[in-house]
Amino acid sequence: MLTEFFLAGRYLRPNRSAVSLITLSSIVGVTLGVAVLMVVLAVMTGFTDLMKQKLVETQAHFQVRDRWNRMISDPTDVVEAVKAAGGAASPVIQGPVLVQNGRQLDTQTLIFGTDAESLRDRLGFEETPGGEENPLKSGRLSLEKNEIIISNLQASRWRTGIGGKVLVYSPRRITRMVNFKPEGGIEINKESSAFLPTEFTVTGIYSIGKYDFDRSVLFAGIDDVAELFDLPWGSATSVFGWGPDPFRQESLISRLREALPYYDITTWQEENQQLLGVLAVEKRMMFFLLIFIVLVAAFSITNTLITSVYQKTREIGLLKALGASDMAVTMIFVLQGFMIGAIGSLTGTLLGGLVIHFRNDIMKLVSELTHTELFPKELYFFNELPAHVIPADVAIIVSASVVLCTLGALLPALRAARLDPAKALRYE
Amino acid sequence: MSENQFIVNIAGVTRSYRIGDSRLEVLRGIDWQVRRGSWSCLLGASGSGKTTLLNLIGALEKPDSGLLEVAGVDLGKLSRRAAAEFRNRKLGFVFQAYHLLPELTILENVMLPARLAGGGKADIRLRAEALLVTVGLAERLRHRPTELSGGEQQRAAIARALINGPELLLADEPTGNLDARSGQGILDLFTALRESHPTRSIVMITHNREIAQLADQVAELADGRLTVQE
Repeated sequence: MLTEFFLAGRYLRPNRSAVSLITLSSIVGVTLGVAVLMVVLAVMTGFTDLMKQKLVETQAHFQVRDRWNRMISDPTDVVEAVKAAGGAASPVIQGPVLVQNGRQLDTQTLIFGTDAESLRDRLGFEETPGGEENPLKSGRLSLEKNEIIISNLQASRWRTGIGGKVLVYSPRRITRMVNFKPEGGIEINKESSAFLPTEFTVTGIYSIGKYDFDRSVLFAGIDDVAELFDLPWGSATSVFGWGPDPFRQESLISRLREALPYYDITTWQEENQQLLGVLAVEKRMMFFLLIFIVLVAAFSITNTLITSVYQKTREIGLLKALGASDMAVTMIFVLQGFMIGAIGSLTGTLLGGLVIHFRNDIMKLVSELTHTELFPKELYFFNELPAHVIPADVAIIVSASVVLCTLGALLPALRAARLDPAKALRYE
Repeated sequence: MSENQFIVNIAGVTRSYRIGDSRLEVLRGIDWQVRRGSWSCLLGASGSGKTTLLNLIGALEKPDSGLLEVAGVDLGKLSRRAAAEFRNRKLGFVFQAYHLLPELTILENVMLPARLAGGGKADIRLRAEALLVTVGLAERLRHRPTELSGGEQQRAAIARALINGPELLLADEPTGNLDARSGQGILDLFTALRESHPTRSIVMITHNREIAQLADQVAELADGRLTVQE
């Protein structure tokens, strides 16, 4: 095998000092394929990690709900069970509301009934604004009677600010304003009292940095929200729970499911199953699409080696005359594909590593040259390109590239092996 | 005389090639016996089948029919793999066009058959260097074939043919591409080799009857048949 390796190396480097131009072009093809794959997968992984981090930061690690989707009239038992299992919990009332400011009506708002303590402990709110990590951007952290904290996007959309007033309607109440008549049609529910929206005062403006969260969520005191939804005092729609490690909470969840048999417990991964699933599928799809670059490079190796077999027909005949077996001749050409794949993968990994390291500088340069912001902060919750290189991903890319390049060399190698030595020696 | 005394034992060998719809019969029942340690020359006009016969003896192709024994081995029964091993261990080839690999140095070219056979690289290198000294190329070890004259390349090719200590040297017009002086140098080398290794046999194709006079046996191919003169 050493001799076949030696000969394969010499065929790739026919001159003493440099590889041939054909070999170089094949290596460059593999290099680019591997580098692009590595960069794209690293960015996809970084993006997914960042997304997961934001999800964990802005959501409970798990939610406990009544199995039959009823309100939890006394969430204390659930809170105690979570604490006993090693977690922390907070009862929450959440639901969609309509928000009116002047003559404007916003139908895409979700109200969270909670308390200032939970916002401080779970979302990192501080009492007053200041600090990049502090979601509270202006006002103060206060959820007393009829006080709300809204996001900067909502403040801008509703054209309001600290001290401003907004009206909040409960869709549940609105639905009670009419009765359905048995003979068809509707009538005003005379038993229903006149419905008025609740007026809230804005005490704080926040920004979590996650666009869909900031766009829709506002916070109010849990008692205000209970009243808004006509729920009994002390009840909750769900209990939010937090464990010590959101990424490894299987045993905690399993203990809770045993302790709370009449409740549904869903983890943050299950809540965001669709989003996380899409991200995982996207990453796999990107791999399969971009591996085609390496596949094309492998085909170029096939073409190069087919040409090489024709050019070296007499040399192949000579090798056979000197005693090289069919297997040895096969190996000489297969090893050329392997070497191109291995060298291309190595240089591709280095190039990919460099691009990942300088990705933000490159992005900045492209932004400056094209006068466009590649990732507007209003739409994306990052303005720097995230990246996370997973060694297993790199190993899969390198292995796939080397295997494809080696397989690319197999066809010409088999053709070389099948050559009749006497005819090959006569070949002009 | 026992059969073991013959390095080549051919009886009734035929070989033909398909050309389009017809068959060209190149060898029509060849009988030939070559003694061990002898120098035989094969004469014949161009296209008479000399190279075909040499390829058959060299296990590079198989006969259509007949018995073909070289070094006691029935070549007609060898698999492709066994034939390759046979060529590597028992035979040495010298071609008119030298056929040195341009990607390798002279030393690496000479080492190649031994490396294909396996074995220690250091030992092979020593043997190759010694052979290159013997053929007068001690100063050319690190050169590429294109940096050598035709005569020097053929000397290197002879050293390569000898590296595995073959029982039979097969030379296809080894002086055909050389000027008279270089050609004479190659013939002197063959003569010296024969004297230093009396058991090694040589079968050489040539067009030159003067060269044939150096041989112990002359065989001539015409119309697919062989006539032998001792």
